[in-house]
Amino acid sequence: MSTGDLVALTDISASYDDRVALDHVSLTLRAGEVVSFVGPNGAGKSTLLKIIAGHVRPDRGTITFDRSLGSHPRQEINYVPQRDKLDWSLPASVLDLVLMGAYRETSRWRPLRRESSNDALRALDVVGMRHHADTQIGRLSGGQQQRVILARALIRPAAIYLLDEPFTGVDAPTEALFEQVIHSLREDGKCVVMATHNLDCARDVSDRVLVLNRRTVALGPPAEALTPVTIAVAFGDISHLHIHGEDAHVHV
Amino acid sequence: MYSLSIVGWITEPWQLVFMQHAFLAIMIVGLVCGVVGAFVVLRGMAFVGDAFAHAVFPGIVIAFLLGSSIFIGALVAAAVVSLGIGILSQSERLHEDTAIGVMFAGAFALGIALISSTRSYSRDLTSFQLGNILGVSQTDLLLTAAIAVVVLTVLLIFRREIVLITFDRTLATSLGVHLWRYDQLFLILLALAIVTALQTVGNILVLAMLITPAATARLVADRLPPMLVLSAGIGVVSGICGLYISYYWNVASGAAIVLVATAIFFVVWTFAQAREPLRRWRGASEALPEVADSAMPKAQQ
Repeated sequence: MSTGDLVALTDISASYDDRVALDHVSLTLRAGEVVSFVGPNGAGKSTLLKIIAGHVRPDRGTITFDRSLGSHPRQEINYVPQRDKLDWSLPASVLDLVLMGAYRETSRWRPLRRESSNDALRALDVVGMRHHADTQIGRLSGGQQQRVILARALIRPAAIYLLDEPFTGVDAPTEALFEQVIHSLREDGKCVVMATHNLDCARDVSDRVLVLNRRTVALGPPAEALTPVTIAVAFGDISHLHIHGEDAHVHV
Repeated sequence: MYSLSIVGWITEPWQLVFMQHAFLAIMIVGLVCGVVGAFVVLRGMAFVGDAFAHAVFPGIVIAFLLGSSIFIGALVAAAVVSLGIGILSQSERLHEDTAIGVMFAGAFALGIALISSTRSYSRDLTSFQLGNILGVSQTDLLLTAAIAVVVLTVLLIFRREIVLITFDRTLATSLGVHLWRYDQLFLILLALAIVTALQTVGNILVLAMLITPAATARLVADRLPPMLVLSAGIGVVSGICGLYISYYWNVASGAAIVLVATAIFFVVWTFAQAREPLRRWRGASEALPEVADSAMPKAQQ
């Protein structure tokens, strides 16, 4: 690993039952950069995030963490799941939900609300949800739910932020807000990795893009990786695309 | 018939030692089952609760046949069944509810087979199934209280982990909470709560002590702490009211307690249904803005 590298994924393969989810994918993540995974449904974007987070074990390949992440590197990872993975009907306020992100940071012998409320409110401030701190989570709209789970990740300091489809179902202002949050995390030297369907957002915020369809289709700066050819190869449908013969870096 | 004053009506059963024991026992049971039941309801584990209540049956019967404490017998059975479910459901081909179904039906059948070989089959079976609250001894009461203290203390210490595995298992994994370990811990607490209720309401109706007060509380509570308090409160009140009904109208105590809890549930459910349109209307009038009002937030500090 070279200086600044936080995680090195080498030759990762994974499968669910008999279905291949990832096939020989390699990638290095660095501090202070934003990497996006783009690809169609079932391309393995979420699986790759979960492998980095340690929620899914790959069938093959190795993951190496830099020493700077300490002896428990996965504690330095904040994973933000897709919002539909949460049961929003459960009895909790927005503040309760955000505070859950701070469970590991405070002593179990002290009341969490007293210890971490200020941190939680600050995180809610960042996503523009402070005035909804006491709102019941079931009353939030989709975009607001997405903001709240992002706030929950922001309450806990970490080196790596993994965001699974953060732009799904959010409106334009929320999208702009998330882009701003991602930028400021990068400026703080954090590594932000996200899986997304939204090619425009991936292009706008990323330093590098991994175009994925179980295998690596392209990897590099957005202008190089996101070309009509690579998109067509990854999404398997070129009917809506106008190819002007760009010099794409395609690895298939 | 009862020309006593209301105070006399209320205090009369308390003159009797066995009724004092019964009242104290059902209050403890209402409290513990109410709190543990809240998590059972939130996790959608009603079936697990029912299965456990049945699965501890052979333990009680074996303890009874050996002349030892039924508490211990139930605990050992619960531990074996919980471990069995945990191991069986590790198999990718079996869902957890299937594993539970296999374990609980098998264990229950074992209990019936064991007790049917004894002479007083039907009488003993009934007392195990329906409980015998008027036969709570001082030792039983102390044991029930001790188990209650253990359950509530463990829940208090590990409340964050239990809340996490209830609310968001993905976050729990991210924060390094060992899901299997805490699932097992919760199953043990559930088994203990069931054991406290066995003598008071019996193993068929114990499910109601776990589910009904918690379900009632869920109808009105928007946050976990009030839900826990309400659930425990409804459990205790149902227990006390049920015992009075049982005392004055000669109804089986377990059934009376559960019927009171069920009645409270339906009353609250009716009010909650009636409140819903009002709430929706109010919700619409103070609609939460999709976008934070001040549009762009300040940059992260």
